[in-house]
Amino acid sequence: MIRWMHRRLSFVIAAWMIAVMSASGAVLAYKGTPGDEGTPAPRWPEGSTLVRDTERPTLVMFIHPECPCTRASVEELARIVGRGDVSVRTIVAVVRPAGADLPEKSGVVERARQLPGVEVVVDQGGVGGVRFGAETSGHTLLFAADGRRVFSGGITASRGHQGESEGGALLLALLRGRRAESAFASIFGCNFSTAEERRETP
Amino acid sequence: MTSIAPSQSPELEEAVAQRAAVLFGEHQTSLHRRTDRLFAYLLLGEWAFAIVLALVLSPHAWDGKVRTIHVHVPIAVLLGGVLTMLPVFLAFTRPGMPSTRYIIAVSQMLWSGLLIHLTGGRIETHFHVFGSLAFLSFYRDWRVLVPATLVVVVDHLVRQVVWPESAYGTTTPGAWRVLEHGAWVLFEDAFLVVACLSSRAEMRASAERQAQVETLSHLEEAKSAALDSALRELRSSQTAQIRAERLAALGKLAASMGHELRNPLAAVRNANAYVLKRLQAARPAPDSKVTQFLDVIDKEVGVCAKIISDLLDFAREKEPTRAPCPLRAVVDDAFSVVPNDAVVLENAVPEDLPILDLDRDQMRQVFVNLVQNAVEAMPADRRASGRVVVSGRARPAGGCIVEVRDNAGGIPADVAARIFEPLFTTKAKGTGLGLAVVASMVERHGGNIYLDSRLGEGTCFAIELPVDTLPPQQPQQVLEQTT
Repeated sequence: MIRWMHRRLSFVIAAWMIAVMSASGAVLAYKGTPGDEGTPAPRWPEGSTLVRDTERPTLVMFIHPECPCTRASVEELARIVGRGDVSVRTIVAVVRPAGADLPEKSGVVERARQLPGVEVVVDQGGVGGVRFGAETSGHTLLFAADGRRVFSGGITASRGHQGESEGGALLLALLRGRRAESAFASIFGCNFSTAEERRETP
Repeated sequence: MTSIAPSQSPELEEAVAQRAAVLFGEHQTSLHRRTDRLFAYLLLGEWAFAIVLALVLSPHAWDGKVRTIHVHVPIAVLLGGVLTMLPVFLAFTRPGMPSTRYIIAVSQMLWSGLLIHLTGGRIETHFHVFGSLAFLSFYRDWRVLVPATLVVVVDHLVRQVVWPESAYGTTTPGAWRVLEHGAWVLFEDAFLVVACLSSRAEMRASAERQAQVETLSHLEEAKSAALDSALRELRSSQTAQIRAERLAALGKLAASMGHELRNPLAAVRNANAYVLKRLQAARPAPDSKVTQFLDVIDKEVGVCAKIISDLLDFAREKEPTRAPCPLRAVVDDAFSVVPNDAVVLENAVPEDLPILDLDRDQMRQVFVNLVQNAVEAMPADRRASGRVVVSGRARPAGGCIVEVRDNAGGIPADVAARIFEPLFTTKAKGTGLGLAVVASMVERHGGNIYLDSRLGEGTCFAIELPVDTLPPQQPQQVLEQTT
C-alpha cells in the first residue's frame, strides 16, 4: 500500500488537493449559509415588555444562549456600541425556547452582561422574539427614537466569524447618523424554533 | 573557498571541495528529515487541538429546542484529518524529499484557515499564518515558502471573487485589500528568504571547514603512519645490526674457543676411554665407583663437545651442500638420536613429499634441535600424553612446508618474540644457540621458519623450503671435525 502510494505520488497528491478543496468548499458553504431572516417588526411592537428609549435609537439583539456562532455577534456588538461616537440604548434579549434543555449559565450571556451599558433580559419561551419577528440567534434590530425600525439583520460576515461585515458597517453608519442604502444584512446563527414550528406559527 | 591549510595543491582543493559538497548535502538532508518529523508532530498536535477546540467552544448547534452536534466537530475531525494524514504519512515514509516539505507547507497554511474558522475568526488566530511561515523557515529552503505563500494568496483571491465579505468584511473590497493582505505575507517572506539563504551559506561554510579538517587529519594520519613505519624499520634494522654484531663477535669467540678446546677435550676423552678399558680388564675388578665416575667423566666431556659443536655450527655459517634429500628419512634419523623416554615421536612426513636439494646433515641438525627442544619442553604433568609430530606438505608454488608440532603447553608471547635470538634461553642449562642454529640453517637454504604457539596447548615450528633454483653448491672444506 505504501509502495503503491509512493509510485503514484502525483496522483495521491492531486486526490488530496481535490479532497481538501472540496471539504474547504463545503465548510465555506456552511459558513456562508444565512439563517432565517424572520419577519422583523417594522415598528417597535406594542405590548412589548422591553422598554424603548424615546430620545435616542434603541438596539435589540436576540440571542440563543448556547449558539456558538452568536459569540462572534456579541463581540461585534461590543465593538460597535463601545465606540465613543455612538449613543444607543442596547438590549440583549436571551431567548430560551420553550421545552429546550438549556444549562443555567451561558458563556455568551455572561459576555453580554460584561458589555458596558448593555441590558440583558431573558425572553422565556421566545415570546419577545416572536413579537419582534426574530427567528435566528444574532438577529439585530435598530429602532429610531420614534419607533421606526431602521435596521434588521446580522452583524457578522459569516457563521461564528468575528471581524468586519456588511451588517456591522451598515449598523455603524446608521448609528452615526449617516444614511444607508440598504437596511438589511444576513443573519448567521441558530434558529429559535424548528422549521415545523415556524410553519405552524401564523 | 577559504583554505585553513597553509597551501594546497589543485587536486587536494578539488578533493576538499567534493567532500564539502557531500557533507553539505548530508547536513541538509538531515535537517530536512528532522524538520519533516517536527512538522508531523505539529500537524498531529494541531489536529488534536482542533478537535478539543470544537468540543469546547462549539459542541452543539440548536434548532429551536432540538440540540444537534455542531458542524464544527465533524469539520475538525474530518477536514482536520484530511489536512493532516498525507503530510504526516510523507514525513515518516519519505522524509527529506522536496515533495514532502512542499505538501507540509501547504497543509500547515491550510491549518491556519481551519483554526481561524474554528475560533470564530479571532484576530489572534490569524497570527498562526505568520507563525507558520516562520516555522517553515526551519527547513532553510526558501522554496518551501513559495507554496505556503501561494496558499494564502490564492485563498484571498478566491474569496475576493466568490465571497469577499468572508475575508474583508465587505462585499465591495478594493483590489488593494488583496494586495494589503498579501503584502504583509510577502514582507515576512522577504526576511525569511534572506534568513534561509544566510543559514545555507553558513551551513556550506561549516561543511567546507569540516572537509578541510578531515583532509588535514587524513594527511596527518598518513604522515604519522609513514613515520611509524619508518621507525619500525629503523628499530628492526638496529635490532638486526645489533644481532649481526653480536653474532659476528660470537662467531669469532666460538671459532677461537672451539679451536682451543676441541683438541684438549679429545685428548681427555681418549685418555678416559683407555683408563676405563684397562680397569675393566684388570683383576681383581676395581671398585664400581671408579668405573662409575669414569663414565661420568666421559659423559660430561661429551656434553662439552656438544656445546663446542653448537658454537662452531653457529659461527661457521657453512653453506649447504645440496643433494636430493628425502625428508622423511631425515626425520627418522633425527628421531634416532634425540634422547627420549616417554614422549611419543611421530613421523608424519608423507613418502611422496617432493624431494628437494638440501644439505642432509644440516636438515638433520635442524630436526634434531627442534624435536629435542620439544621433548625437553614437555612438562612433567604432560609427559604421559606428550606427542611431537613432524608432518609435511607440498607448497602450490613449489617446495614444501615441514611442521614440528608438540603439545607441551605453548610458549609465552614475550619468550616467543626472542626465541630465535642467539644465546637466549629459558633453560637452566643451555647455550641458547639451538634455535638460532636452526634459523640460520633454514635461511641458508633460502627458506623461512615460523612459530605458532598457543599457551595451554602447544607449539608448532613451520619450516618453509622453496624449490632450489640454484645449482648445487660445492661442499665446503670442514674446518674442524667433531669427535
